[in-house]
Amino acid sequence: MKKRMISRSVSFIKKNEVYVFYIDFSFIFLRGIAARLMDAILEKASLDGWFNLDGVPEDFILYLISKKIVVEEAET
Amino acid sequence: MTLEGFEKKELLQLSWHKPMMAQIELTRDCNQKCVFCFRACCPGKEYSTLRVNQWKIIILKLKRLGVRRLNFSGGENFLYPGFTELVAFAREEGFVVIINTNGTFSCKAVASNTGEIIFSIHGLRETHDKITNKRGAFSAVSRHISEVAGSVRISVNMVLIKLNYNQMNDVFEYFDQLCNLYKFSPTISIKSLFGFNHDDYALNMTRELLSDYKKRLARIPSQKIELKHGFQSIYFGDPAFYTAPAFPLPNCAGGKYKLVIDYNGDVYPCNFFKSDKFYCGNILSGDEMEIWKVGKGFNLFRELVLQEAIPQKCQSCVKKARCFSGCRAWTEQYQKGGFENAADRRCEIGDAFVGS
Repeated sequence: MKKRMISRSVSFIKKNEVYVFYIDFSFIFLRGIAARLMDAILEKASLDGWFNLDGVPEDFILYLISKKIVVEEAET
Repeated sequence: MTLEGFEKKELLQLSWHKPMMAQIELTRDCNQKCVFCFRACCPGKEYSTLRVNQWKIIILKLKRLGVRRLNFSGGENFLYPGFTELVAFAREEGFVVIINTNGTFSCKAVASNTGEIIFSIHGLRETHDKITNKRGAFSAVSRHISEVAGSVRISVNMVLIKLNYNQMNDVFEYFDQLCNLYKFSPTISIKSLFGFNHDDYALNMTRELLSDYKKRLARIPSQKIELKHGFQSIYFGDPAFYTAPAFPLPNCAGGKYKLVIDYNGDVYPCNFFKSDKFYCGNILSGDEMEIWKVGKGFNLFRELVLQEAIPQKCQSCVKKARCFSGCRAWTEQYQKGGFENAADRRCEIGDAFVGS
């Protein structure tokens, strides 16, 4: 079983309802619905980055994984 | 300048919020004595190196910091007792591990835990042996590369001096045939403040040299070349390279995405800037996040970008966003301790400036 978490290597800030993530020399901007989904994810995130994804569309999570914003790690 | 409503300064600071890689010098001990060594590593010197468990603590701190790539540099890593154990530990912790070695030891024990092994090879046969001051070094490195060929990415670093410059392409062809090289990095030596004085061997940086060097690089498949010390800004002339993506970042890793950790845990932004002025703290005894955020060496490199402390001419160059006046160790002022507002001297010599 794998758990999903926000990568330790990602950095982000939010301004005027837009998120910008930075990883691997790339900036990724999220606005509109994507930014609101990100709000929901971060609200549920625990201090160590794990989060509960109930209600978050799988397509969106897969997008975040493809951008290395979210990573999957084996549960320990 | 803004992008999607974010200021340039905000995006730059976000990009260096966490480092991506760390270069770890487990030991300065070395069984070779390369004439140009930028760290003056050589046999017989005693260094107070950290214990394996102390390095494990450092590796865990780097993980917390967000680092994903660990580069074990040197000295010669295989002279450090516990090196194999540390490589396995780093891999278990999820790092991509890169190893630098002179190839005088077998790498079989670490290959399965390593993403890339970079061998330092400075010529063919007796040329390599002469430069490294070690008889049999070339046959040893060739043998040890053959042992791991096909099981791990293999790259070659070659430092170019008068003794080996003409062999640059021969070295590439020889080892590419032997093991299908991942990357080849032929790099003109820098006169490091912390290395051996090799004035007698160093190449004279002239227009003719740079022109010839570029021609030799062009004979190597571009996907296999790894350019170092900001030479990208001299080599590539196409303005599109410097303006894409929408927000290009500086080439130089200092203060942006890399930590250099000495054998005693001291942290610096760059191998060529290891004076008190650039000291960032000790990662074993200090807080890793604080070192990264407020280390004075890191901030000197960052401020150079934020304050645009570069020469007037560089301000109007198309290459500015990526180049940012090039490598600090290649400025005229490097030997005298200068840093800001200094141009990379290869730029003028190599006609690299592209006016906007």
